[in-house]
This record gives sequence, structure tokens and C-alpha cells, in this order.
Amino acid sequence: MNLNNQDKIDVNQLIGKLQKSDKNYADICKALKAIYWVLTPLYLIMTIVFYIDTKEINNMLAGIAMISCFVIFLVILNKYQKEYNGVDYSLPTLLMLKKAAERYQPFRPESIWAIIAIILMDIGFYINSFNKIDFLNFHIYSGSIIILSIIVGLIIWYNKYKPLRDNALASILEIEGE
Amino acid sequence: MKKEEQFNQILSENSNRIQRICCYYNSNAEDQKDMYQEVLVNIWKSLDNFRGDSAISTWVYRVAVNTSLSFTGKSYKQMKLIVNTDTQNLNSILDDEEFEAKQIEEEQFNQLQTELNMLSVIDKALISLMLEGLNMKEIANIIGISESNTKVKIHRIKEQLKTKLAGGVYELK
Repeated sequence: MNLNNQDKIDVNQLIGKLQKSDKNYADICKALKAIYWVLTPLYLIMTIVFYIDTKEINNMLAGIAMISCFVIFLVILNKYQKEYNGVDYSLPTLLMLKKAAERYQPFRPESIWAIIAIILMDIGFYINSFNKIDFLNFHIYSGSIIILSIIVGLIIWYNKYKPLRDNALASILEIEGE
Repeated sequence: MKKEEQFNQILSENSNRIQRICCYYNSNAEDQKDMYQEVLVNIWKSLDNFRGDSAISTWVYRVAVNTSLSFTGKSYKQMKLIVNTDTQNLNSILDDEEFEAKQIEEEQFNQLQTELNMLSVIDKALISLMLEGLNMKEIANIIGISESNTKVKIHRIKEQLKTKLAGGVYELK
């Protein structure tokens, strides 16, 4: 396998594509963060204004729940962005495999925060629609959506990431074994 | 130095090294080229983390070996280790005198090739690094285990090959 001039041109094209891909990913993350940065203060202002107008504690509680949810998602988004940028193929093989096995877990400790954020969003929506919708009906709908999302996530994980995790774990076992 | 310049410099100094690693794992030119490109992508992604703690060649080997373990589009377990008869350090597996004295007999070579392909992915990675002429310390540094553990593992692989090739012409060091 020898690189000729054509391959060298391909390498230059590759650099261009990589730089573009880095920029695209950074742009997507920036856009998502911008949405949260706009939504959070906007909701905060709306909450304060509604509370001043109506003096209803429910509006304030719903607002606080929604704002907390946005803040948690913003923190999670930051963490995943750092993790994506931090995937390092130059680590010693054993360490890289351990990090991969950790990354491809179906439920990670930080999933708790995502669940808390979803619960807060649920609370926020429910308080907002209090007296407009039946408690049981509301939670049957919202619960179904959450459970369906988890099932879809698990199916994707099982088909796409579980084989990678299994391979990584098998390799770790082999490297660490005598 | 800009990332692009650093990348080009690494590439110009290590291109042959990366190509050889790709050749160990792929028999056809197209797959070699795909893996080569995948290694370059991973070098680019990991370049920001290079702090010069290890030699650039060791760093490049790490990226290449780690890519071979997670090479997308290839069936992980079907990954084969392709050893060419002109591989420089093949005599680190086979006894030099026997090897040169007998020339390279096709069927014996094929037998060795078959046995090498029966090895696990990690063992293949260890052998490929040995064929590159790396010492135990360098191999240990790439895989992330102790030097003594590396020696034990490589000794075990050699013993395993020796047993399987017993009765054949090859003598393992």
C-alpha cells in the first residue's frame, strides 16, 4: 500500500472535511446551548411577570420547575459535548477500552439527572395545566411518552452500542487476564 | 504550530508506519485505504490531546492499534492479521537460521498465517507491534499494561504458536 499523488490530494481533502465536521458539530452544540440560554432567562422573566400579575404561587412553582429542567439539560449538554471532544484514540489501549465500556453503558449515573429534569418538566407542565386536565389522564399520557422514549433508547442501545460494549469488555478481560 | 501543520508533519513522518499497520489487518487495498483514512481521522481527533509525553511514533501506534480494535465497518471478530513474506521482523517470531535456510516454503507460511489468524484480537495487536520491531517496553506503553505482563503475554502467544506448529519446520524463539 503506497500513497501516490492522488492519495495525497485525498488527505488534503480529508483535512478540509475534518475541519468542517469539527465546525459543524461545534455549531450544533452552540445552537442548542443558545436555545437553552434564551429559554431559561425568558422563562424566568415570564415567571416573575406572571407571579407579579396573578400572585399565584402555582405559576411560580411551574416556572421554577421548568427553569430547573432547562438548567439541568444545559449542564448535561455541556458534559456530553466535552465527552465527545474528549474521545481520545491515543490513550493506552486498556484505558481507551475502559472508557469506551463506560461510555456505552445503557444507564449511566448522570442519567439520574436527565430523569430528574424530565420529572421537573412533567411537574411544570402539570401545574400549568392544573384544573384543565385530569391528573390521571395527564400522567398516563406523559408516562407513556417517557416509557416509550426509554424503550426506543434501549432498542437503539441494544443494536448499536451493546455489541461495542461487549467487545470492549471482552478485550479488557483478555488484557487484564494472565 | 497550527493543527493542520502538526497533522501534516505527523503524517509525513509516520505514513509508512500507519500503512503497515493497516496492511496487517486488511488483505485488500480498498479496506487498507479505508482503515488508513480511519486512522487519520482518529489522529486528527486525538491531536489536541498530544502533549509529547511519549515518542510520536508510540503515539501513532496507539492510535493505529486502537483504531484497529474499533474499526467501523469491519466485523470485529473476523479481523485477520495479514503477514507478508517480506515483513521485516518476521524472524522475531520464527527462528532466523531455520527461516533463511529453508527459504520461505509456501505451505509452512500459510500454516503460520492460519495460526496467527486464530489468535484473539488483542494477541493479534501484540504480534503486529512485535512485527513492527517494537521492544517490550514500547508495546507495554501502547497497550497500557506492565512490561512484565507484556513479556508473559507474548511468551504465551509464542508458546501457543509453537505447540500448534509442533511437527512443522518452524522453531520459535
